[in-house]
Order: sequence, then C-alpha cells, then structure tokens
Amino acid sequence: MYAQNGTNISGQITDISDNMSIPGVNVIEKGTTNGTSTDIDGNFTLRVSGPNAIIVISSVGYQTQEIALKGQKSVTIVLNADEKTLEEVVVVGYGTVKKRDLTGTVSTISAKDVTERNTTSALEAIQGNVAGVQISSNSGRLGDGYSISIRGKNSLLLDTKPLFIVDGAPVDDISFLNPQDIERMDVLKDASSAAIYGSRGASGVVIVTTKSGSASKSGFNVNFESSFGTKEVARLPKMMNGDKWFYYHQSAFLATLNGGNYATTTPAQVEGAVGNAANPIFMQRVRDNNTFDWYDAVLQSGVQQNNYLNITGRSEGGMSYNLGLGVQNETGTLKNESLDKYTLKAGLNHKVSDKFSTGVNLTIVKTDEQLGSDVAMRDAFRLNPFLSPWKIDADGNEIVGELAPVPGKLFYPDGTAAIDKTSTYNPLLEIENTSDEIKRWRAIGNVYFQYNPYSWLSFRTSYSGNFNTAKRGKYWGALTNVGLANTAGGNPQLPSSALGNTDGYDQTWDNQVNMNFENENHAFSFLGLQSININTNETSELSSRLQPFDTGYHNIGSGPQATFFVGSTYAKRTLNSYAARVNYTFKDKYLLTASVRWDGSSVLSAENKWESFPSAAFAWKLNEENFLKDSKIVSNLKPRISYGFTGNSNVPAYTTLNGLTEQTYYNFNNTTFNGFVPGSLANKDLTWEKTRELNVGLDFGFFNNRISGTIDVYDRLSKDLLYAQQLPLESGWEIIYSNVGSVSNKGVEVGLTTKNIVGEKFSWTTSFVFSKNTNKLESIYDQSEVSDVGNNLHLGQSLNSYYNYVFDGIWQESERAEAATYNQTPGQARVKDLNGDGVIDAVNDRKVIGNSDPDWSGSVNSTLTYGDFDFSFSIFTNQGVLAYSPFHENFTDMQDRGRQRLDVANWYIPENGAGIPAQASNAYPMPRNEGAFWNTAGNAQGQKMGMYRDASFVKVKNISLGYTFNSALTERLKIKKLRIYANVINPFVFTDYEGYDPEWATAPFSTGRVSSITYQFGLSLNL
Amino acid sequence: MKKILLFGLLVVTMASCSDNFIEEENLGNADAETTYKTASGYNLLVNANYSLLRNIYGQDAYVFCAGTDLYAVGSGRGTEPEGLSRYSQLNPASDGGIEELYAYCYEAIQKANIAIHFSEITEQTPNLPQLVGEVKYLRANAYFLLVQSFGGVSIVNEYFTGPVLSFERNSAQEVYDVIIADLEDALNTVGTGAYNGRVNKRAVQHLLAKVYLTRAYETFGSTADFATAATYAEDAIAGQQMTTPFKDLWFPGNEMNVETIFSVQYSPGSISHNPARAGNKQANWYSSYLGGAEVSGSAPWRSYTLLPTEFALGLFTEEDQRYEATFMTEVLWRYYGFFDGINITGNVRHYYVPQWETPEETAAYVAAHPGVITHAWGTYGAGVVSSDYQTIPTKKFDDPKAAYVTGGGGTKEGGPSSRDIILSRLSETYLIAAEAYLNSNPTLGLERLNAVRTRAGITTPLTSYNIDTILDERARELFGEYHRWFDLKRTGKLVERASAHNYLIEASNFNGANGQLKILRPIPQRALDLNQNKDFPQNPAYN
Repeated sequence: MYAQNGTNISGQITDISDNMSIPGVNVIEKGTTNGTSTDIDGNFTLRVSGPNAIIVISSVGYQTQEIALKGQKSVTIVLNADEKTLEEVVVVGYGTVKKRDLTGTVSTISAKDVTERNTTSALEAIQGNVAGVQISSNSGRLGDGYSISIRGKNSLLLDTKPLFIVDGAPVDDISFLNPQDIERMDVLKDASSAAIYGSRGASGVVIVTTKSGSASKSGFNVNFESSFGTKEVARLPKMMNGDKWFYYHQSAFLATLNGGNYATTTPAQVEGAVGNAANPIFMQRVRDNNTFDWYDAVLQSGVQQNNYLNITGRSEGGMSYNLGLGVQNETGTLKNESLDKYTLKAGLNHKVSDKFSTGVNLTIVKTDEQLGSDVAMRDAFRLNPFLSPWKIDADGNEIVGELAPVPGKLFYPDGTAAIDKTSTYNPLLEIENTSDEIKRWRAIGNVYFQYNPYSWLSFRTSYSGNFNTAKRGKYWGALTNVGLANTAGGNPQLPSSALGNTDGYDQTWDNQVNMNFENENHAFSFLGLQSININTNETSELSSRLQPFDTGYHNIGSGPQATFFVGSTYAKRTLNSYAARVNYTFKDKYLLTASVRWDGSSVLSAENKWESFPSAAFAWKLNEENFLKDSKIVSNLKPRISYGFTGNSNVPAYTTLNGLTEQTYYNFNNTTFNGFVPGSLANKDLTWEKTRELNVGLDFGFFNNRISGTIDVYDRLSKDLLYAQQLPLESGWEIIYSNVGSVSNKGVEVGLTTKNIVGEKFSWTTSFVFSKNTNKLESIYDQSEVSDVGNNLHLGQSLNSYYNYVFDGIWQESERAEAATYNQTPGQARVKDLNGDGVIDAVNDRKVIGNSDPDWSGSVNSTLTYGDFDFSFSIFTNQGVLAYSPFHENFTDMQDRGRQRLDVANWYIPENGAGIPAQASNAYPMPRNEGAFWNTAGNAQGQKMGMYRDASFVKVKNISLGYTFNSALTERLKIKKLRIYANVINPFVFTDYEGYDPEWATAPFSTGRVSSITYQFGLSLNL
Repeated sequence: MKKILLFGLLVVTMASCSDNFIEEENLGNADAETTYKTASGYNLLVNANYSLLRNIYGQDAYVFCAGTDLYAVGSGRGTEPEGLSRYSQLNPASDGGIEELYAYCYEAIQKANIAIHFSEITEQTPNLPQLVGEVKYLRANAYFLLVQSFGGVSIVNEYFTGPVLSFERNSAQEVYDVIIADLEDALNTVGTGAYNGRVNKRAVQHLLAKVYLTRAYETFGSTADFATAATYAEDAIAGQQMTTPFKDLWFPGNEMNVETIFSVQYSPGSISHNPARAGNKQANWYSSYLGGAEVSGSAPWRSYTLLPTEFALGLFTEEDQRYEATFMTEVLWRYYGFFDGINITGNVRHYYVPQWETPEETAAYVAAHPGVITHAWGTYGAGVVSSDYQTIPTKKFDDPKAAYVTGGGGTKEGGPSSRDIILSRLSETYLIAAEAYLNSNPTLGLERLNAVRTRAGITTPLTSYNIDTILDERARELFGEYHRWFDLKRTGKLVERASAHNYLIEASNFNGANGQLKILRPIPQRALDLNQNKDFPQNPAYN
C-alpha cells in the first residue's frame, strides 16, 4: 500500500502550553489511509508519498493541524489545546451534532460551568444559568436536593422533573454525582430534541456525560482539586424577643378569660392564667427578662470539604482512560446533620482498530447521610424565649449542662411545678438521641461496543446499568419524645428503631445503526435505534419498639415481638422502544431533522401501551448565505423552527390493575382478621400524556461572536394529563390515576453572552439569561367550562394556582355592626365578600388568588480576568412568586399562645380591662379569636387564607476570586497549573419574605432549614 | 460480515421476546378480581368492610357528641371545632369530622358494593349469604349515619370500575328505604348465635329498631314506625335481663360482656402495627388536661374537650351507681393506678365532691386523705377556667394499656385505645323500646325504662315519663357513647336542650341562611368541590 517511491519523514509533537511531548497523536498523510501515531516521547516516523505531501496531525483535545512538508524531512510540531471542542458539539441523544448544525433547542453546560461555583451538587451549580430551566433547593436541608423543571409545569403529577440520562442510563436524580466527574450536560428543551426520548421526554431531557476518558489528552495528566469551607447560618427569621413575646402571651388570654368579655377582664385574671401557682420560675424569668437563645443552641457553623483527584491519559495503542476519586464531607447548620460522599470514577476507551472500538465507564458512589432529628429545628424555634434547656435545683437555679426533657414543664427536684406551659420536648435531647442515617451505594455504568464496517456505516450496542441500594436506619433513644411515648402500659422510657432497605436496578440496552452519506451539496445521516429498559425496585422495612438496650437500629429484634412491624414491596416497569432519525443538510445552509420514536410501556392499560412520538425541525444558516458570508457584523445567524411530540407515562406501576395494596386491620373477639382492598381504583383506560410543541428560535452572533446568544419562543400543549385525581367523595374511592385534561405552556427564553473586553491581560465576559413562562389549564374532562375546584384544577389558570378565600384585613372595633352581619366580631380575620351578597360562602367568595410560578426569572453571570487574577459572580432572581408558607402557618398562627411567634409588626389586641395595651392590626387577628376562616383550610390542599406570601427574590449565588500562579514559578515546581481561590456561596438575598429562605418558602415545616452562607478556600492543581 | 450477522441476530432475538415484555409483572400484590373470587379472598374483603367501622368511629368524636347538652369545651383551655360545638361558625368548610364522616361512610358503602358485586361471582359457599348479610348491615349503618347527619344524600349502590365524577342527591325518604331494604335482607341471612364481633341477628334487630324509631319522627315517617321500632327492640331484647353491675360493664377488658350487641372491635394485636394511631380515640375525651408526654404511661392524654357540662353531672343522684362508674371521682397519684393497682398506695390526689355530699362529709373525707386537692361541686364541669385536673375526668373508656399520644392525627388515623367502641348494647335497646312505646303503650315503656334504672341501683321506679325523661336517662346510661347528637336531633330537642344546658350555645346560634336552622350538617365543601354536578344542592341553612 505504501507508495513505492515515498519519502521517510520524522518529527516530534509537543504541547504549546508546557512544551511536553505528546504520545498517541495521529499523523496521517492527507487523502490517504497512510498514517501512524507518536510514541511515548512524542516522536513519529512516516513514509509519505512524496516530498510535497501534506500530513494531518490530530489528537483528541487538540486543534487539528495540516502541515505541508514542502520537502522537509524532519518537523517539530506544536499543538494547541482545543478549548472549543466541547462547545462545538452538542449531545442530542444517541449521538452528537455540531453545534452549528443543530436544529433543536439544546443548552450545553460545560465542565467548567458545572465546577465554577464549587458546589457539591451539580444542579446547584447551574441554578439560574440555563434559560427555561428552573432549579430550586427543596428545603435547605443537607441532602434534600434540588428540584428542577424545564419550561414550566406540563404535568399534574408532582414529579415534573426532566428525564436525566447519565452515560446512557436513565436516573431519577443526579445529586449523587460529583460535579467534578461531569464532562458536560446537555439540556434538551424543545420537543424536537426531546422526541428521540419519546415517552419520557415531555418534561425535557438532561443528558449528563461523565468523563469517560474518550476526551483524555495524551500522556499522563493529574489534576487535584481541594477546597475547604464553612457554612454560616444567615438571615435568621426575626422571632419575638422576651418582652414582645410576653406581651403576645398575655394578650392571647383575652379572648378566653372571663367568658371572652375582655372589656371587664381584670389584670388579676390575666395574672392568674399566665403566672399561676405552677409557674413561679417562669414568672421569675419574665421579671428578670432572662431569655434563652434556642436558635444558637441548636444551630452551628457547617463545614464543607471537597477533595478530588483526577488522572487521565492516552496511550499509543488507542487506549485512553479517566480515573477520578472524590471525597466530599459536609455538616449541616443544624447539629447532627451531615453528608459524606465518596465517588470513584473509571472510564476506559479502546480504539482496537479503525473498525472496532469499545469502552467502559463506571461511576461508583457511596453516600453516608445523617439527617439527625426531624423535630429539633421546629421545636427550637417553637420554644418560647423564657424556657431554657436546663434542669433547676431546689433554689430554682439552672443546672447548666443537665438537660430537662420538657423545658415547658419544669419541676423542682421535689416534684413541684416550676413552669407549666408547654409539652414541647427539649430539642437538644432530640438531637443527642436521634439518628436518621441513610447509607447508599450507587453504581452507574456503561459498556459499549462499536463497529464501523465502512466509513459511512456503524453499529453500536451499549448496555447501561444503574444500581441503587440504600439502607435507612432510624433510631429514637430513650430520652426523646418517642422514648417518652413508649412508657404506655407502665413501661420505662425505652428506645425504638426502624430500618428500611431499598434496592433498585435500572437497565437499558440500546442497539443502534448509523449511516452517513455526503457529497458536495447534500449531507444525509440516519439513526436507527432499538432499545429496552427494565426498572425494578424492591423495598423492605422493619421496626420495633420498647427495646431494652441502646443499640441504635442494629438490634431491632431486641424489642418485644408484639411491637414488630415488617413490610416489603416490589415494583417493575418496562419500556420497549424503536426510533429513527434523519438529518439532511443541503449546501451546508439548510438543515432538516426528523425523528420518530415508538414506545411501549408496561404501566399503561393493555389497549394503550404503544404510542409514536414524531418530530421535525428546520434551521437555516443565514450567515452562510452570500449576502452575509462576508459580513463584519454578523458572525452567526441561524433561525430555527421545530415541531414535535413527547410523552409522559410517569405513573406508578400497577395503576391499571386492582392490586390488593391496602391492608386493613380488624379483629373479631380478640382474634385478628386482616383484610385487603385496592388502595385506589384501577384505570383500565389509562393512556399516555402527550405534549406537542412548536418552537421558534434564533441563534445569533455579532462582531466575531463578541455578542452571541439565542432566543426561543415556544408553545406547548400537553394533552391527556396524567393525574392522581381525587374522586368525588360519594364514589367511595379517594383517587384514580387518570388522564384528566390539557395544559398549555407558552414562553420565551433568552440567553445572551457578551465578551465585553477581550485582551491578553484583561478580559471580561458576561452572560444574561431571561425566561418567562405562562402556564394555563385549557380543559379538563373533555370540557372547558367547569373547573374542578376539589382537584385544584382551574380552567384558564396555572396548575400551580392557589384558590382560596381572600384575606381582607381584620374586623376593627368600629366595624362591629358590619362584622355582626357576617356572624363575626372585631379582632377576627375578615374575608372579602367577593360578590357582595352579605354572606361568605364557598361558591362565590373563593377565587384564584395567584400562583407559585415566577412571572419571570433571570440571571447574570460575569467573569473578569486580569493578569493572573480571575473574578466572577452570579446572580439570579425569581419575580412574581406567591408561596403558601408553612413557616407562617406555624409561626404566625394566632391560636397558639405558649410557643414562640415570628416577630410580626402587630396583631389585634382590643381595648381591655386587663391593662394589656391595645394594638391595632390589619394583618393578624386577635389571638384565640381569629374567626371562622383564619384557621380553617379554605381549599382541598389544607391551606389557610392568611398564609400566602410573596416569595420573589434576588439572590447573589456566588462570588469568587482566584489567582493562578505564573508559569515561571510552576515550571520550576514541575507542575502545569496552580490556581488558588476564595468563593462565597449565597452571600446576599434580597426579598420581602420573612421565613427561612424565599427559595424554599413552600418547603414542609419539618424539613425547612435556615438560610446559610458558605465561605470557601480552595486550590486547583494540574500536574 | 459475520459480525453484522451476529449483531442482527441479536436484535431479532430481542425483538421476538418483546411481546410480553411490556406486560405488568406485579409480584407484590395479588389481584383483586382473582382473589375475591375465592372463598378465602372474599373473607379478606368482608374483613376490610368491618375495618371501615374503625375509620368512621375511631377518630374525633365531635360529630357524635359536640354541640349538645352534655358536652362542652373548657373555657380558656381546649379547642373544639367551633362549627360543631357552637353552630354559629358552622359552615361547609368546617373541620372537626363532618367531611371525614361523609367520606368514610361512602368509602364503607363502596366497599360494601364491591363485596355485594363479588358475592355473585365468587365461590358459592354455605356461609356466603351470612357474609353478604353482614356487609349489608354495614352499608345500612353508613347510610343511616349519613341520612341522620345530612338528610338526603346520594344513593350509590353501584360497583364502580372507572371514575364517576357526577352525583345526584336523593331524598331522605329514599335513603331510609335503602337502609331498611338492606337491613331486612340482612335479618334473614346473618348468624343467630351469641355476639362474637360479627353482625348477628340481634344486632340487625337493634339497628332496625333504631332506624324505624328515627324515621318515625321524620315528616315522611308514621306512627306505625314507632310500633315497628318497638317490635324490633323487643326481638333484640329477647327477654334478656340486665344483671351485670354497671361498673363491670365498663371495666377495661369487659367489652365483650353479655349485654354487648354490636361494637367496633379492637385488640392490642390488631393495632400493633401502629399502636399510637390504629386504635380509637374514645378515651381521649370528656376530661381536663392531665399532663403532657411527661405523664405517659401513668395517665391518658386529655384535652379539655367534650367535658361533661354541669347539667350532665347534675343528672345523677347519690344512689345512681353509674356516676362512680362513669367518672373518676377520686384520682390517685398515678391516674391509672385505679385500674392496674400499680402505685395504689400513692393516695388520692384529686377529689371531686359530688353534689349530694354535705360539708361535714367532705371535711371527713379530707381528714382521711391528707394532701388531697378537693374540687367543690359546681366547679368541675365544662365552662370553668382551668388548670390541669380542674374538671372531672371520665373513666368509662380508659385504656391503661394505651400508648400515650397527643392530639389528632391526619386522615384515617385514630387514637391509641384498643378497647372496643360499643355501638349497641342491651340497655340502649331497652331505652329504644321505652321511647317507641311512649305514645302507644306507656305502661310497657315505663317497665323498660325502669329496668335500666333498677340495674343502676335506683330504688324508686318512675311512674310516668316523657321524651325528656328518656333523654335524661339516655344521658346517664350512655354518657360518652357516640349517640347524643343523634338523640337530640332525632327527638327534635337539639336546639332546646343544647341552648338550655350548654354554656356556649344560644338558640340563635342555630340561625342559618334562608331562615333555616343549622340542624342538618352542611354537605362538606370538598364533596361539592369534587362533584362535577354543580347543581348538587347544599342544605338550605348553609347556602
């Protein structure tokens, strides 16, 4: 094959950045198959056809070069690292396309973006950065993770998160990954992109590619990242101080003392109720204003440590690898909460020959999570400021260090009462004696084999497995509220514990064929796919009470048999799929993509298992047209249009079957006879939820891409929404999984990047993201006239609507007569009489008062480099968010009088004979006289009308400052790069919301945690 | 090429096995349709029907007791749902158990419908008709609760296989027809043996007596209904005398005594999966607060709710043994010590002076019990300001073995007691008979009434009676049992007696919309919200 009369040449190839030689670089004579690769020292020899041959030098991670030999026999070639490789290719599902040839709407997030903020969660790392993607913290609690939704809520099922694909395996969450292991994330937003995932694509798709080694540079590269940070409690809600709380406490008796006739209530009556004989110490503390800071007692500075070692390399024989080892340790801002994550990553690729390649990619993650006490935070905030955690001696002095079980029920050593106010258990004892541990192993791996018989044809088969096993052990020691409750029947205070196991395995086998044809004017490619997915999930649990020993959850059998509880479950779902996709390009200007996927799902009814999901997209590279080709202004201009269908079948397994899922308990004359019934009504007609979407977009770049970005406008309509629909009470069934209606999401997304300054020494880049989405329920039950109030489905409104009575201030004394017409009295919460008929009734006086969707959200990210310094910050905002706030439901409830309250500006106190200063209010009713509507849930969601709050915010997500040591120094130390940095996460939040944090304003009361600021120092070292 | 072939073969193999690849494989749960066709599977369904009694009766008692002459919340402590306890704030969204009652009754009805549907296709066994009869009793009982509480409701006797979103309202008369039809069916098929926890003939007779008695007061009822009620009551009594001392009837563990006709069954074993919530709450009421979690194991959790009113306490006389058996007139240092003897030497801590005691007797008592805190007559009924132990505790339903647990739970969560909730018992049958005879055969009626009083230790028989006599007797005999609101509502005495004897209720509290009184409960707002039939009428007092 070699040219008989060729010329031998030789050369050496080095990296421009460090002058190190590069092994494994491909050297090919252009237009032939004649080639070789460099040896370990970066040297090569090649016999070429003649002295004027041209050689092509290519290596992954470097820019490809063509060298005309022009008679040279020996060449030294310097390669530039190819920084743009990532940006230029987009992962579109079962393949990649060049970004310039993309027809759909896909946002790509590079490894740099994922690690820039130095967070331990990949989702937190990109919060606010991707147009159309909403990410928010669920509760602020360590390990509770982030929720994500793409382009609004298009499903009624709570779980509207996108499909995550990690290395080909579908996963329900990516929080287990170490952000450092992520090579790139591609977010498929429009239907034409997501349609290749068919039945699972309706909420968008996030494809995560971990570092597999295929992009590893030649040679042996070591990268070490380390950071240490502290997480400081920040922006604590302002609770009442001692004086104010006692004022509140006294005022809360007016409504009930003296038959509620507060005008004639005497100071002595209030004194008698507040400071009765059982409360000498309490009253003493009030007189001394002796308060205790409960928040400080349970909260602490969290610690965050992150160490990561990465080794990559590429050898001569076509073998490349990536090894990663990560250790993350975090402790929470509430004592006894921690999260440790250990990741091991191994990727290996082998290009066996020109025709065969194979590889394996494996990520193993071990997490140890300690959730601590789920009541301590709540109880610490609930205990009033005059209660302290300590026992008292006979003189009533605190014995600091000896914890009293129930601080609000304090006794002298002789058993007489010192404080008799509230039975809230001591949160410090809860923290010390509670454990809630999750030990999880997670492995996700992928093996592939690829065969390219011809340059235009390839086959690929890949198997991905995702293994997830977790053990959750809970333990309540004797000295907890649970331990106290164990004393029934004369038992001593004893421990209880429970253990739950889950075992999940998800396996996917993809077989695909790819074909490519290309000539001068036409380029055509085809993908054929056959895929199966099997997901099984098994759980088991066991618990006992009244255990004789303190053995955590490690000896559950030690409890008496009568307290044993056991259970186990099994669920399996399967998906069978076929898909095809064609890409056609004409003259490299007109791009067409069409795809179709057929999915058959086990979880749908027998008649409705199969569905097809077609899509098409068209893009036009306007900048390639003659009239723009040489433009100095326009560097990129690509309008796009796409239309497609995606689906959702994300219902639990077996909802089409009347499985006997609900065990009932009964006995006849002391002999137990349990029963079994279906827990919900089976739906024998259950079918797909299907979303069609039209997307019009524009990619643009001006002034040599100094200004670049994308604008997308979309219109999606989701039909046959799947919903756990509550049924009319008369039906005797609570819910059925069914297809109830259709919802539209319309929105606009803008992403804009400006390179404000580009220079050798100084550069400055800024990117802006703006998204706005409008969600609207179009129809339910095949009609669009009658809303379903009971299911919170309001036609023409958002799916996240709040429907309730309208809080209209407080009835004032001057309005007594008018209040009486509504059966109300001054001090009570007033409801707006919407139809003005003089009666407050559910039909006419409730309405949609708002929704929790942001009106718009946006972000700004900016990076400046000056010499060896780099500085960056990111800000994001959600505006126009209304939240139902469980925090307020608890801490501004005016029914409770013994526990701590939020420091509200005012609440209603009438003129009274007890000497308690009156106070006007239009915000909060008179304690214990709140009126019929204040404490009554006005809707099926159990929400109370006065507890909605604006949770809009602007958050500075992070600010970081880094310094990279100059190469003169690092070279002497034989290292490639050394950077040190300081980073602050969540330093500032601007909001009117008074609870823990506006981002998780709707978090359940038990898991909501305080806001925090993380300060980090770190280094990044390349060897 | 060989490899391509191999590859192709692989794909073909895969595809060929894909036919049943997407069938559901449910290893964890048996299928209802298959299981219920077997005899043992059908029993599981019937057991589940019984279990729904626990949902209906095991939770808050406000729909049964609150807002009557006998029970009221403490003044200044304790929280009862205001709508149910005072009426003025009663509206369709009121909480407190109206919605739960409505929903659980319909759940019971639908589960009964399933059982009746499968009775035709399941394995036909000799005892199948008995099981169907039991289920019909349970369905009738649910309808009976609904019709008494709400008036006419939807009659839903279909077995559903898919979602139905729209329901119509039937008249009360139609609902009574359905109840009587079910009970008459049941009468001929249920077992005839002694009560063993399952519905037997006597239980059906008792309920029929009560249904006819209740219908007799309705506009569409008739005097014949009183006669039918009396007949069924006599059938249920079947000549049995009340010979057990009243206090023995109510000592913990004696729930299956010879006078029990029907009860919601509980046992420690059948609530062990969730001992704090799978039992019932009957022991949670009728008392002052006795302490928080710190008294766990030595006293029950109480909350100053459904306290006996002064009126209720004043109904008892000195010779009436039911007073001591109902109320904990002396509280030992360890409350449960009365039952289990533990810490019995701890002396009396609280003493509630009965209304008939003279000052001298009280002084003697105090002298004999040093350190005792006495509560004078007139200071320990509902309505007084309150510290712990301020109002007299009720001991009738105490369960010393119950887990200590505060407050209510969520949906389908009951309380910690594993004592049965007695729904029908012999003395009530006597009282039903007495009420039914009131206008037709007062002599026989008096005999039935006096039988109840005699067993209670009352030596002088009554010589005449009226409906108030009956209601007073029911108050003494059935204090705390889940009948009172229905008794007052049935007899038309709700407004009169509640406003006369409950310190929180004025007659005007009952004034509702459209000039109507708030006697019937409002149809729960959630029911109206979920019903796609927007013409389903609310009860007129709540519109």
